[in-house]
Amino acid sequence: MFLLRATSFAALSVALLACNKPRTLTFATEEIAITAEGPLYAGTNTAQGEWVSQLDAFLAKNGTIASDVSGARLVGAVLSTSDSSGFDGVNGVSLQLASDLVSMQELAILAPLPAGKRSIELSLATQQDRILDFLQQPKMTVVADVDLQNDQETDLTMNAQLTFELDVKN
Amino acid sequence: MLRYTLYLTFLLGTLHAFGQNPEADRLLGVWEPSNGKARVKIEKIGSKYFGKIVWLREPNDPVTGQPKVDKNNPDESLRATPLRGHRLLKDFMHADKNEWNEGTIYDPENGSTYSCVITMTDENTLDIRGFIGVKALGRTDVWKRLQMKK
Repeated sequence: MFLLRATSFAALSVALLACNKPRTLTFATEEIAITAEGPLYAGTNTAQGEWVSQLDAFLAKNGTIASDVSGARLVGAVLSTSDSSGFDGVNGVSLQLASDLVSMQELAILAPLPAGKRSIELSLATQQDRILDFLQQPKMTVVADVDLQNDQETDLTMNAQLTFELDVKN
Repeated sequence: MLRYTLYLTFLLGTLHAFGQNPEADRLLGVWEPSNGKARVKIEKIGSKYFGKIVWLREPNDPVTGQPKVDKNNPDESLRATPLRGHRLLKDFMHADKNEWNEGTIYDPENGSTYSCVITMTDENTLDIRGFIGVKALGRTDVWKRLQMKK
């Protein structure tokens, strides 16, 4: 009898622990357009693009809500351009998030850039303390600092796609 | 009089719609710290002000001969970030006529970040006060606008 009770208790405990274990969801943004208005000068230029987060809709689709997200981290940052010469003429790029209510967060960098590529994957920052705070904002600004080799008259336009992992309590 | 009021309302509405605040935006421009080692461009992202290095008197590392990088960044993964282009001033909000606060300043020489208040003492001069915890316990540097306004 005692053995049966103890076994039942242990099974129940394991089941409860399993239920409380957070699951991980992968949330990828749509392509976010980022622009630096020309004329631009050799050296660093700031490109910006507004991102309206679709996180709530994504969470609802996955049967959860924002208050159940206990952690978040960036796991991928890709920049792409439709320019036929790719990122030639760009020495390096760094990516940040900014918003009115959360302090700026460094996301990723890459320097130098591979030649002739229209899409580049950036190296991610290891300190990502404020990612969850950002994801809880309805909108934010994606900022790219682009180090140009030469002056250019025209706008610089690119797209960013960010991929986040979310820890969700269930 | 009515026409003037309507015009003023329209003008203010337009400026607001485009996120412009002429009094706060006086901070925008290129500034030089007192040591003359760098020039910092202050720009606006959203409704906040940020400043990044756009010029270095010594752009290359004397040891490696390569462009200087942020070698003291506490995040090791970001130590390859070029110093030219690095954002030193972050997240400043316009507080009152001549003050911008709630921001931070980063010192690339030791990798430390301090709380910071910017006070415009005249159109071409900024007092940049960095501090830890209490504003009174800090240090002030005087920055000059590169292209003086008359």
